[in-house]
Amino acid sequence: MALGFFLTVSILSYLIGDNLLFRVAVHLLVGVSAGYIAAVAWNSVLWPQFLGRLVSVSGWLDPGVLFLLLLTVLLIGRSTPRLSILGGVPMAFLVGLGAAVVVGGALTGTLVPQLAASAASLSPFRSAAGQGPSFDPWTSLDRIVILVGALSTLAYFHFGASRRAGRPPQRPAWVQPWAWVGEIFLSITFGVLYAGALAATLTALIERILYLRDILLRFLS
Amino acid sequence: MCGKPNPDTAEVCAFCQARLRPLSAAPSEPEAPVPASGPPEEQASDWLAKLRAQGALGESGGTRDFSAEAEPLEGPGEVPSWLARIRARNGEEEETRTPTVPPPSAEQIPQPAQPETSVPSAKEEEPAEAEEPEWLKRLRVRRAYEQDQEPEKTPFGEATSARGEELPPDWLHVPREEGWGAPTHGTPSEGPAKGPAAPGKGETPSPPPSEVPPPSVPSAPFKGEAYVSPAPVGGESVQSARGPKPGLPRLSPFTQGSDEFAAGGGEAEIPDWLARAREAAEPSANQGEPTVGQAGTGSAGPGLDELLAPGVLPEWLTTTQPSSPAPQTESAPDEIEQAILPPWLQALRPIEGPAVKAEGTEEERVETAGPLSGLKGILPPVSLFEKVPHPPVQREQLEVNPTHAAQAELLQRVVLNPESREAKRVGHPGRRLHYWTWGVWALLFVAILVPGITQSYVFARPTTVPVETLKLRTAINALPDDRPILMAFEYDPADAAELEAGALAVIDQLMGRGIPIASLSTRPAGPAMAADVMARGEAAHPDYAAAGKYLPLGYLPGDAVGLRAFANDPRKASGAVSAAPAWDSAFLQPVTNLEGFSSIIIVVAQPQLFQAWVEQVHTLHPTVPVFAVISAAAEPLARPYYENDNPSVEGLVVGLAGAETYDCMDSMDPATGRCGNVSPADTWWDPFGASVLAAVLVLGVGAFGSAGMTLLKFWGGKKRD
Repeated sequence: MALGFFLTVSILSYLIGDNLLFRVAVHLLVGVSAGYIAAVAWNSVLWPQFLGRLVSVSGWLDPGVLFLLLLTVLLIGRSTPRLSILGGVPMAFLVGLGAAVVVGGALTGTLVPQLAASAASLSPFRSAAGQGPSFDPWTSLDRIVILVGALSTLAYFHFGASRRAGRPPQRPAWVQPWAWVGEIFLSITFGVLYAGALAATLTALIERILYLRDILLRFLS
Repeated sequence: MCGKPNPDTAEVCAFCQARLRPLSAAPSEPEAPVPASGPPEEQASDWLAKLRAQGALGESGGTRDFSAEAEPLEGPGEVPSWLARIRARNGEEEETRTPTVPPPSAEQIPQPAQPETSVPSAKEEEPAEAEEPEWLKRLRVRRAYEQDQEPEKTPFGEATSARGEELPPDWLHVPREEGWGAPTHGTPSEGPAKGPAAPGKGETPSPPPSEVPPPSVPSAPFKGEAYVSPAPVGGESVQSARGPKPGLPRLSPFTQGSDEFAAGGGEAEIPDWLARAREAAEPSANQGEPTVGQAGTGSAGPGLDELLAPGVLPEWLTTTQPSSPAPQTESAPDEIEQAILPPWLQALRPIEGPAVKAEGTEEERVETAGPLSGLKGILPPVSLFEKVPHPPVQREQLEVNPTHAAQAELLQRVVLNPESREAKRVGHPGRRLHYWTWGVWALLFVAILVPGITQSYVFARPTTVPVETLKLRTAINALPDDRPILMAFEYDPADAAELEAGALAVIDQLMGRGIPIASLSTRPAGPAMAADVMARGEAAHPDYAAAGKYLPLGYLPGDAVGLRAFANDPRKASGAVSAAPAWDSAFLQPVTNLEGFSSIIIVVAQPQLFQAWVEQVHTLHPTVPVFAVISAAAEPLARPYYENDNPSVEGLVVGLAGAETYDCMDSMDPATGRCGNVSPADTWWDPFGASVLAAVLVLGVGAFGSAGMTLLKFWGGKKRD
């Protein structure tokens, strides 16, 4: 607790500028984090999933372990210029596999569901199963706003422009008002993001200041 | 000696007391026993007669070097016939001549008591004639001629009637001598003194014929120029100068010829080029007269004879001195002769340049160094360069716009005020913090500390529960207690304060219901965060901890790939050391795939991690409900996954407000409005409300202040315009 108090005060001392306490706290944070990550990598990855399996004979008979060993050896080749080309194999494997996984997940998990959500009916009249048609203008308005926001934001990111003699390149006339509306939506979005970030930051500051308060109250009591 | 005029009869200069008349020549020289009367005319050679005849016709005159044709010397008693004829004729002429000056008496004749006299007598000169070199003879003839040209310098005050016309300059002799025939080289001189007429020249007074011995015989024919012995020539020149006077008898043939030539008697025979040369030579001769006369009368320095004694002057001087233009050289010895520029060189002169100061008006500069030291009139090179005309300046009209003028003015101001260029000292970085920043920090500290210390309850707890939060709470209440749930802790310690409040609220509910919890994280710090939160939850639920329902699966490497692998095979993907006992526990034994978990609760601070869980896990196992406890910063990007007809996330707890709502949902006191569950979210609620209010205040002040400053600048600019 005393160490936490000292480190917290050291970090907050940056309010008066860069100083020794702040640097000590930052260096300590970086060092401890690196050491902690190394320990986590050893305990969670290297030993249980790779080196620990090579200790036993069964591990050497596992094709997955041998393939992992091969990629590891090739990746070590990047440490020397002559053998760096060998390191391209595991790097290509990692990048290719990661891109494939991410793109596939983005299509199925984000893009298609979002497009389906935006393609909802704008009609205020809805018909639920077993019930008659109902009038829901707010839901319709909400979807209209979503649609306008999506289209205007896409229009804002439309950077195509036509050239005209004697005039600077300009967007097509029909894109400009949409882009202006999209700019408004983006401004609101960034404002919300900033508000969320401010709220998160204020929460962290509150936690630290109240932590100091508790320590001081304990020390005083 | 002083050169000033004296009466004709004066023997001594009234100014300098110098003797004007030479003393009578003493017959001391044995080499001059030649009698005044010449030898009989019969003894003269025929060739001399011819020469005389030619001289009478005007073909003779001038001097000629006959050294190469010198005849052998004769003995003193053996006077040649030609010399005898000359002497005889001289005698006749002297008899017929009316003397302008009475012959000096024996007393008046200067005695040669002082041989140092500047001008020796004829007798003194005669013995040396035979031994004198040719150059000296020519020099004497020249000087005698020049002395004749200055009448004001003569002691008798008579001006010669003709200046230089009787005897052309040396340069004029050359072509004429070339025209002579070989026999003319023996032109004799009248040699002997001229009797009473001889003193016509003060410096070279000739003794009377009776007293003055005749010139030595050998000297006369020697080299053909011996006839121009100094003494006789001097007197002869005077005679010749007076010769043209009407009624006067003719002088010696040589002189006669000269007179005729000078008088123009031979003009018909002179070629045109020679006549032009003579005309050109006359001015120079006239200019040199005074100077020559002064030099001849040399009032200072050694005598002429001494200077001209044989062996004194070098050979080069004897050859150059007589022929050099004496007037200019002697009159201005220090002046540098001006060169005559050829036409092509004159054409190159910068006549269009600035007017050069006249040389005459500029003080002459004396060279003090170098090989030309001591010379005057040396053109200074510096002044020459300074006088070189400058090329014409092409004036251009520069277009200076206001911007350039302002920049030029600024540059001038910077140059003139060096202090303005001094850079401001940069202080410590901490001191650069603006007072406004200090004010913001102070306001935030006060807003947090005052509610925290006073434990006030100023800000009301949320009474309206969001639907997403309510769904999560409802879903947890409906979960079976024999199936574990998977809880992912995807945040770092920096986000722990905000997320732990929501996570603790959810964990408190889970532990209350005794649902086994398996923790997992794709962040290295996630397992530690999970352990901390679970430890705090177990502290509130000791029974739950004793049952061993917390199953930490540890760190899942590989991000999206790891999540995909975990979704495919949870046991194989989560290979952490701590995962083995968890997987071997009784709560996870039935779990062979992801669907073995009753639900997935993601505690995440970054929207990308939330998106990865949804994309990689939920898409693969959509039947497993996903809930999320997310940061307020990630809400805008996570909410679309909830606001959907087919939502990927079925419940959300957003930020500190969601945690407080979640905590107080079941424990809210409607009467007091206080939350009955003391949780971190409830503890931080008032400080959070106060700090947010302060932040909004600061933002508002900053925004309105900036807008006001902008408007003021805009209006100010408009007024200036």
